[in-house]
Amino acid sequence: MKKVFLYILLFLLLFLGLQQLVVPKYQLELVEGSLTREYYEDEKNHQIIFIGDCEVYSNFSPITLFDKYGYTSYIRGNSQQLIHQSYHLLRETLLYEKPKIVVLSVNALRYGEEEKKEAYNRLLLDGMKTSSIKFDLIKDSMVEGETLIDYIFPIFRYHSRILELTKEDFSYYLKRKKISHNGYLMRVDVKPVTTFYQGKRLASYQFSKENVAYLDKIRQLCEENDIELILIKAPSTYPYWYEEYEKQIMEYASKYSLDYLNFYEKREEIGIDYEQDTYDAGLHLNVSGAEKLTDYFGAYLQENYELEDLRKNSKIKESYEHKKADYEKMKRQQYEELDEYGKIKMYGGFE
Amino acid sequence: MIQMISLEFFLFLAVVVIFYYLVPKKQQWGILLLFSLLFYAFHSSLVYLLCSSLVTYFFSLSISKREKYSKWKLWIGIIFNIGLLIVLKYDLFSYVDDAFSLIVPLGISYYTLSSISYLVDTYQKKISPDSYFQFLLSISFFPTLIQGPINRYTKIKDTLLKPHSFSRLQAKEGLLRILWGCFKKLVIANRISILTSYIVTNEIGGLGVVLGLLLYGIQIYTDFSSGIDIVIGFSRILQINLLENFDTPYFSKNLNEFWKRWHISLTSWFRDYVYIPLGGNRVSKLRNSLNILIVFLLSGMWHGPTWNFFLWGLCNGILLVMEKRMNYQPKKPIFMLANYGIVCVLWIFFMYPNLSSILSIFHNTNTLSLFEVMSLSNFIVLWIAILFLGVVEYQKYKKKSFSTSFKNRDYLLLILFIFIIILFGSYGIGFEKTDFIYSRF
Repeated sequence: MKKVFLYILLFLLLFLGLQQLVVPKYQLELVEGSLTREYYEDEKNHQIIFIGDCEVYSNFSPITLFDKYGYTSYIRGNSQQLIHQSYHLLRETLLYEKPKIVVLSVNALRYGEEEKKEAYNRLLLDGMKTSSIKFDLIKDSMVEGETLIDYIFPIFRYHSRILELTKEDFSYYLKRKKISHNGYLMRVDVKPVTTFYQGKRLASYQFSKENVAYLDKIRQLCEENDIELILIKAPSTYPYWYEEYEKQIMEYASKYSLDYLNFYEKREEIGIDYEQDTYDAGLHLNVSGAEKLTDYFGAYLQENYELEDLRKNSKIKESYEHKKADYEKMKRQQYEELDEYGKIKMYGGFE
Repeated sequence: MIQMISLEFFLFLAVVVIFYYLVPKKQQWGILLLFSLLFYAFHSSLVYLLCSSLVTYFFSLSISKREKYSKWKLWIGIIFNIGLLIVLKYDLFSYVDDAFSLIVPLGISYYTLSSISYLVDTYQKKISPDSYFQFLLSISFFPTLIQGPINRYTKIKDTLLKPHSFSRLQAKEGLLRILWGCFKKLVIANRISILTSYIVTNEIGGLGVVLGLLLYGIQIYTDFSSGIDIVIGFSRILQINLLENFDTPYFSKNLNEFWKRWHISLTSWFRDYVYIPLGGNRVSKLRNSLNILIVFLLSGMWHGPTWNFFLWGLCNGILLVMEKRMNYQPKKPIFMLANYGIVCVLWIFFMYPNLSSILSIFHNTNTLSLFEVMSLSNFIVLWIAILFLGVVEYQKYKKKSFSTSFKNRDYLLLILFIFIIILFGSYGIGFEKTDFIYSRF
């Protein structure tokens, strides 16, 4: 019997060890896959939580927000984060902390079922801690061909990586690099906007009932927890944000007395220069654009919300000084890479 | 389509094992029948299975009770079963109107032959029908419904109905056999299918077809025999000893030997219920040649209503007749390779979906860029796995069990196998699911 027990133990150890070996580390490629996991490593004292897709994690810099206004914040953003995923992530966030403000990107409201993709699910879910909320998220996100068992035991999903292992897969457990700055993914490169797209005609401009229902749930969750909800739309030049979308959001915000900020409409006020402040011709802001937007948003918060300036708190200030040093270091590294190679080779990764 | 290598199926097997050993021993076969019917009802319509079994049992009982008109009863029973198989498998009603098209019931090709053997064996007084439910279990034992082997009441009755106590040794052996099946299917068959599917769908010609056919021979063997391994392995956990369906077929030196080692339950069924009743070897050479042709044409048609299978049966029949008439019985091992080549050429009828695609390979000019279809590392894994398969098959050919060489390290072997399958198997997202080839028949 003792022997059988030992064999079972050996099996479990091997299973877990090999599983850890084959799962993607998201350190050099697809770094967005590190975003969910990194949240757990941060101190949970955030006054503001940003939730949404790349429109939050590429466009707001929590380090700048603290540096200039003393507000602590974290971005719980993921590539193509859909609105039901935002809801579940907010639920999970509330298990750890209770922010004063939740800033929600409304971009995902436009998307339907067809935007559910396994690759995006993986980027969001692979780093998520196991909980009943994670199971809810998986259940609501899975597409055809995906199975729950693949999420519970990712070895079944990533087994074929055994033939593609790199040095990173082994070194990860000894030396893991941090990718984001409180959820912000930095890019310093520039690709100017050349065209301001006009939207093609759509069959329907109506947000789906399911999406609106999830927006309701997010709003209710904030109300129940005494959290201010701010809706935002990033200053992206594409994909085109239709008038009809804008109208629906404005009506919703007005109906529930929520703040809604469309930063594209305020681009001049913010000072965004689409020749200099975007790294992909208008979809996402680069670090210069993100700092401008964050500065503008910080001033807006200062004017409209009573948030404590935590720069007075020496412990928090010290922690953010370290973060700022890392932030500046990565900025320098990226500029150096840009000079040397003409492109950024490592979008993230400071030790 | 039922996925034999799936969590759902394995969980179902586990539940059956638990109930099988929990109930009083006398009720074990009842549990198997209950789960078999549940399994069947969940995947297919029970109507045809029940119809076929009731008619078969009724006529068998009638034959055994009253000898009068027994030949007529036998033929009515046979015609009913074959009729049902032809109507459903060949979808005859759809020729009248598409609206009448019917779904082929699960396992009908297998349980029809089992039912006919029951009728004939009763007629020949080899068995006397006792319990309907025991007969029903013999034809509906659920793992065998997916891709065989074809059960015969005379051969399965004792092992299926006898009470069994749990044996750790048998369970371990059964588990190892299941894992061996998973290895063959996931690591070898599925990996080869990436290449062979590519060759077929991209209309590859020339040497690509030759490579494809040579690999398809391994694919169809590992695919089919892996399903049988899982069935036999599971049965062994229940201490039910099913007959082997393969006996290292690619170590055959001629086609005649090959057919004694390949899909044994089907070929022996045709031998006992078609070939021998037609006169077998005890007839003139011409008649004997005709008997061989009939058997292989029927065997081809049993696989499905396509010209591919008809021609495959015909070609096999012709080659076997030639072998027999020329008394072709080579002794040197090199003829194993020659025979493998012939068998692979014949598999062309299985690899390509129709005759026009087979004919077009002579005109196809697309060439195969091997490493664009499969990475070098995957290709290496495939050949290591095939080499390992060859070693195991050779040991089996020499009548040695490969597990005996591990003896006291069985658990280590199980663990090793599990991880090899998990890590090196071709399955999951990114890999197109392929059903077991023989589950189609």
